[in-house]
Amino acid sequence: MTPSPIKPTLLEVRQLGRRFVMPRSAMWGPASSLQALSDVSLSLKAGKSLGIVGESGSGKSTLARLVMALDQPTEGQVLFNGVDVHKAGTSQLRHLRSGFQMVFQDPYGSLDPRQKVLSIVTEPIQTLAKPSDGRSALRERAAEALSEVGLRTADLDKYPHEFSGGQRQRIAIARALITRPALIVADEPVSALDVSVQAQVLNLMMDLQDRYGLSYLLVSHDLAVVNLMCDDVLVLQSGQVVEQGPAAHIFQHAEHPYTRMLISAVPGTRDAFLEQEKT
Amino acid sequence: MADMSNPTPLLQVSDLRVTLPTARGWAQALRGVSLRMERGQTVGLIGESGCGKSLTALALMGLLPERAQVSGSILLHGQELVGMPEPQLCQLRGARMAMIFQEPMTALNPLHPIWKQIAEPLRLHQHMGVAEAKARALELLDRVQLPRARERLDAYPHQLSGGQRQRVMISIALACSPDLLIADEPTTALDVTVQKEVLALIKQLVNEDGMGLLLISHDLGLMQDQVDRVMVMYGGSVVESAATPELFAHRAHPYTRGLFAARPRLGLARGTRLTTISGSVPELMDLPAGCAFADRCTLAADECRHTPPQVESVGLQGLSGEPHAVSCPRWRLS
Repeated sequence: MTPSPIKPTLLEVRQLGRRFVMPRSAMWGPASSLQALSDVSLSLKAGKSLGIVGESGSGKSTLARLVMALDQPTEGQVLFNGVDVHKAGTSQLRHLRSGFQMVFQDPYGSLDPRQKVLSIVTEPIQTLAKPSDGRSALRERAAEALSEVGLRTADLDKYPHEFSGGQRQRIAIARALITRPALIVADEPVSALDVSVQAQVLNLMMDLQDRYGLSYLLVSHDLAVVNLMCDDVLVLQSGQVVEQGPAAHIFQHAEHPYTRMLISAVPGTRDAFLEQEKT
Repeated sequence: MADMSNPTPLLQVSDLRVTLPTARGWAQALRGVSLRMERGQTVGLIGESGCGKSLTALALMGLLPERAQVSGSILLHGQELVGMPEPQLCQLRGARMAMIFQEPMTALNPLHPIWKQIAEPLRLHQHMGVAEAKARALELLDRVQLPRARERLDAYPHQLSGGQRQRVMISIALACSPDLLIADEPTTALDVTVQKEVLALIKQLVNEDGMGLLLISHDLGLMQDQVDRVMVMYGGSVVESAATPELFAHRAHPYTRGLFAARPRLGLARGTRLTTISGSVPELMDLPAGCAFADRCTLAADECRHTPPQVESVGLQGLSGEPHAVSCPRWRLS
């Protein structure tokens, strides 16, 4: 990606809402519904990161799924480079998707245990591959993606169970990177990892962002991770945006009581604020 | 705090070793864990997955897999638990020592209403009748501050939220007023705000009853708020132990330092690279003869890989007079 002085808006979400119809409680009564997300608007520029925080049930993952076009909104739009992803046809969406990829939380559940790393990593480009691209070309691109995340070419012929949790998350990142996306939606990418491994994966994600001008939409319950990784933050409570703005500002001067409560509930916040004063 | 007037501590674990059968042969899962705990004292076990912290808890509760080989000693009120026959252990479990597990959904029985599950230890250990046990269950639910406790006696676990289920778990653990409470990652599955409430509750109950608390967690920040003393585990051994403020102020072991540095903290500037510990947690089968951390350690020398490290005193004493011990001959080097 060529750096330009004015960063274009990569992702724009307008008044997005999602209502789920719940099972009927009585045989003849009307089915109840749950407004999982309402009136969420955000924009994300190329090369920037946005953190989505909130507790379980706040709608974080619903938002991520809608952005990825894995689910249809009941209201609003998701524009990726100006194109409404929910209005795109199947084949157009397939091409659009090479621009935005996802990394999931569970490095054990998100990789097919019966596939070798080669087919896992190249899956996103297999549908887009031209007949002229031979197997060796695919393998080359997969090897490149693996070296990007600090794994070796020899790892292409192994199965997921041969890797540790941190390595599996690297494989998931390599799978996302292989299409050369502009945006990676990461849903709790490090919450299943041990502290020492989590730091390695976070550093890797930041390095990749610097190298390729990637944007991240980072869903996390961990405020410290969002603080480290994101330029902007959006706080969700029961599907509503309660606060959004620059992360540095919100973490120091949160206005909404819910945001303040989230920050003060982080264990060991006391020394965190001391460190802040020192710097 | 070491109480000299009471020579028999609540819990005295000496050189606890556990060997587990694996597909590749016997693995040394605990390699000599020792700890001492008085009534009313709270001790934290911290470490990454596979370091042996949960295994220590299971060993204390006598819940290890059947084929596990255990050596060393676990004295609860001076009574040896290692090698104790199962019927006797059953008398202690739930009565003198109790445990709170990480995932309240799987630890509770989905088919029984919650009052029955709280009443179970009461009926078993204190031979209460049904009515009496149910009344006591209500008292316990009130004590763990479950809202609308009376209506919820007949609720099933799926009708409660994660935080509420964890409160039920706590009330079961407390039912027979145990002397030792073991909490294994009690709030890992909960949201931060709920986590804060549940931890405050555990702390309050431990204070009121004067129990000993062994809290297991991977979260350093949580330890700081919750326990008097922290023991850091790695590769089946305790690598450092000290009073909590002392450990946070003067971390000595390279692994403890690495853990602190690797943790993302509020207040770090955007884009700051975290200091990492290279490599990953070793498999139990692949632990070196010497220090388990040697392969990831920046201070390691050849001797570290071959000779098990001796426990050294850091010399600085915490306010409480707790010794600060570290299992590393080279901790002074940085």
